[in-house]
Amino acid sequence: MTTRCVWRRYRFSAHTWLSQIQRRRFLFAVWSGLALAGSGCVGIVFARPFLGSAVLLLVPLLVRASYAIQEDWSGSRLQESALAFFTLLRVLVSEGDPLPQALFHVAHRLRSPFAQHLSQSLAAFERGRSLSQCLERFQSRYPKGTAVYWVVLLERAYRQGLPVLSLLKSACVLLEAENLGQQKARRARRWAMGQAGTAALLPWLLLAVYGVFQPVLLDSFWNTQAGPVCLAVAFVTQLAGGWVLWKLARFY
Amino acid sequence: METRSFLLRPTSRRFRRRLWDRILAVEMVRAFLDGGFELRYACGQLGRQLARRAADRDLPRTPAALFDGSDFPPHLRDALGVVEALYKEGHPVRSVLGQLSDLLMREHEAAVEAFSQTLRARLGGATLFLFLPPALLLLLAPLCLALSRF
Repeated sequence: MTTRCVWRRYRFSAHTWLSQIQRRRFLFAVWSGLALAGSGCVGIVFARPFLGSAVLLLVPLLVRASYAIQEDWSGSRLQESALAFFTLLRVLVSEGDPLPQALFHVAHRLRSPFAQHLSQSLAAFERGRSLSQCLERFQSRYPKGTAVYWVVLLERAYRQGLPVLSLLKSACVLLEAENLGQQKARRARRWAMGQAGTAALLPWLLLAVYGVFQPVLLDSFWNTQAGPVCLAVAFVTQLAGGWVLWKLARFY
Repeated sequence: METRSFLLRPTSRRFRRRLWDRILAVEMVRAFLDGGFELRYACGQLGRQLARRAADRDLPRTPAALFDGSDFPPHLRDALGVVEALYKEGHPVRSVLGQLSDLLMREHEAAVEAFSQTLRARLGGATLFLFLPPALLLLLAPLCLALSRF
């Protein structure tokens, strides 16, 4: 990547969002529909078009957050299921199977997310693509996973006549250690994010309790100019807080 | 230098990432050495094989970079320095690399433990700091506005 295009690596750039449209049309359609419906409802129900526009402006942030969560989730599923794949691959290679043959065999036979996704990428082999092209495609789909990179590295090492079995042993050891660490970190993270979610929802619930038991109080609050501004400020502060917590809770 | 040591304190995310990258590199180099290759060639291969990943992350491409411990705590720096000295004196480093990998792994496990144990406290403080003001705003603003009318 040239220096001129460094901005493309910035995760929140418009390019990053727009480049996702091709890959995730369905998600984009769902989010667009929800955004329009949500902003329309907020604008009509509260009789304040300003709030509807604010909701519409927040949608790109929510879309980006949903991508991050989805990527995190699918990446961890792939990573967790990769150990079984590599163990089986190691057994076959140590039995004397050539790496490409063992790779196809395990990818087609094993029923785990990693093997299934790899199998989908390897299907291009039957359409005339080379094995390395198939694996590069697999890597471009899941660029973050260490396990994905191990497969590519193994294939490259095999192509150059380098030792594959010792690499496979290292891969198994490291994947096991990485999985254990990730599981521990994820457990702690889940608990902490649950705590943060409760802290974020509680004031809104209490505000709703005001609405039920003291509707006059809430009506008078809502009908002043400061009311909607307070709500918007609280909501934006909570969103920013959620983002900070998400960053703090990341292990890598 | 001060900024660097602040950024790479053992509880920082960047330290954990660098530590894991170094573990990956040491294990891969060890695998190449098991296959009978020389360390310099193994590092070169690592750089070539992982060209794309090495651009994104801090994967070493030379023996000097592999044994560079400037970003790590003193005990790891010392261990890397010893292995580097052995390599420069011409000793075989294959078995030493295995022990180095074990040491780095233990450091990683300690980092995971520390992360899991301190996360609750760190996020608890951050949650209080970040979520208490909006909560107070939502709960007290209607009351304050109502009181200000009387």
